[in-house]
Amino acid sequence: MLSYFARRLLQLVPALFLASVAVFAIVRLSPSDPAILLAGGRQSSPATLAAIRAKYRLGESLPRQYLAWAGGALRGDLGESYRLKQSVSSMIAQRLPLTLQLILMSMLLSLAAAVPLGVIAAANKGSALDRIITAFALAALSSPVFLTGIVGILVFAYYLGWLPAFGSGEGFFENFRYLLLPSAALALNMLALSLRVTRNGMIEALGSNYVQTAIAKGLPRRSVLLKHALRNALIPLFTVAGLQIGFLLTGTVLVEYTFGIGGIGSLLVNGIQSSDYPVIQGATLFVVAFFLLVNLAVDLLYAAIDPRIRYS
Amino acid sequence: MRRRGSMAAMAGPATIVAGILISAIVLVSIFAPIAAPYDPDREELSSSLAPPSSAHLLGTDRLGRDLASRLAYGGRTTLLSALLVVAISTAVGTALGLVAGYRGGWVDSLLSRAFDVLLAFPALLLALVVAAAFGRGIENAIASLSVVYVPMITRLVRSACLVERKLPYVEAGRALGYSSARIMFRHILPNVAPLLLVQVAIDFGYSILDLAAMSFLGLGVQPPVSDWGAMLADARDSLLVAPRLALAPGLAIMIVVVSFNLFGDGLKESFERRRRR
Repeated sequence: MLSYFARRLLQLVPALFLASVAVFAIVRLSPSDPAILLAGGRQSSPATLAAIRAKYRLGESLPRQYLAWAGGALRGDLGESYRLKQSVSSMIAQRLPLTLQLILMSMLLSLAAAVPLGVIAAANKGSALDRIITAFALAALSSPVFLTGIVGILVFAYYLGWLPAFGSGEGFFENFRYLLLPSAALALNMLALSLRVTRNGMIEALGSNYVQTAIAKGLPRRSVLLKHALRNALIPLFTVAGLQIGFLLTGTVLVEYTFGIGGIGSLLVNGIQSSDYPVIQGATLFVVAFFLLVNLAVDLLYAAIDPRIRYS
Repeated sequence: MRRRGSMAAMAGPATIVAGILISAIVLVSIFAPIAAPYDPDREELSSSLAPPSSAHLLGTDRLGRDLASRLAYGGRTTLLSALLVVAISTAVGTALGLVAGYRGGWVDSLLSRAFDVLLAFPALLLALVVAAAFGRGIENAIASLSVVYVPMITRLVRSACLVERKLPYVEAGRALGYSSARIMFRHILPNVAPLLLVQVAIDFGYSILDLAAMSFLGLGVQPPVSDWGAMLADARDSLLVAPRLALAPGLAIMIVVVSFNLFGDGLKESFERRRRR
């Protein structure tokens, strides 16, 4: 077990390294000159441009610039925003709680809907109810998350006036109200995969010998479904958790933009829209590192639950 | 026992409906200049935000442009862009996947490692960053999404190719002295094609979603050209007054993507059924 953990942790190092090179290279391959962007895009004197190049080390070779940037990143320093002249790391730290809360709420909401719906669909396999549930999940998967978001704003914020439409509040509990609509939109969007996995897992479990035995023994159907079948059907949910997280991370970018929430996603979009390279690099690297780490955690957790994984 | 049914008999009703919807939307897009009653960019401020009427079937937007015409032309942009993304990524991804799967060795490990890194990025996020670096615009959005879609196609073709490589017909081809290229493209590719086709149908739907997202964020098409994603973004300003401006392109996206998903699933089922016989 320990050696599996160690191996997986070691695999993370090259992945992170290559990801950081990719992020740096993509942004630096850009045809526009950062110095001109920094000078405000206007016609600037050569002296101003030279001063800017010196200050931001833009005159040095790309490998050197990369090393300086990556070295800083290792110490938690992601550079300074071109536009706001603030430390990118502190901007990320400031916005992280909101994004984390959004991710967590979306995940919980989606599971809270997907698992019961999946069980109901599997228990009534082939029925009209099953088809309605499956069709609903497909429609939710196929609608852009900003459309779901806009419909949500229209209905629950404007027409019914139950929830705030835009922005965020102060603290966890106030934000709960603000994030309910955005996370519901995200949850709907990612519902389909968990639902399909739960439904398939349940159908398989219901057809298996141990469940048939439990039914034959005359145990109540309810307890067979929930105690015996569901437990095994839920394991595969872990395997798709990694996929879901990738989905969620891009989803938060779109949702934060739609709802005007000041999290990491809107930080990235603002950075992109104003060509603020340090912000783009920093936020992207952060998101990718987060993605890799969460994926690793999921894999390790999965290995801890299911010993077969470790030895393959 | 019927040995061979028509395609329609083998596909479920959902697949047929999806196919009809896709054809209808494609036809409207192709014939947008004829089908659309107005020039999509003609502004007529006197009839700004006009409700649906006989003159304007779906009403007009803030600038008095005819929504129905914009929807038809927007669909044209959206579908054409998605077609390009899918075509480019499938061509490149298939070629790389065949080479990696058939040749194996260092080519395979190099490609696999490189793509593992690309796959470590959530797809749309990577496309956003690429588009950010190379500037906004529909060409860059198409290019960056094409890049992002390549690894998934490559992975699919590679693993299918690994299976095919061990089959007798490949060995026979090699014994006959055929070139690797001929074996890969003339012999293995047709056997991998059904699997690929399913993926292409599903990717088509997803690339429409991703393109719409990029346009929604202002990184895709630039005015005056518009697609469904950009129309949705525009509509946010008049959401309360005229929700139809957001709902129409939004529903259009949803219907197309659902159709492609159903169509892909239907294809997959009918291929599987045929294989089992």
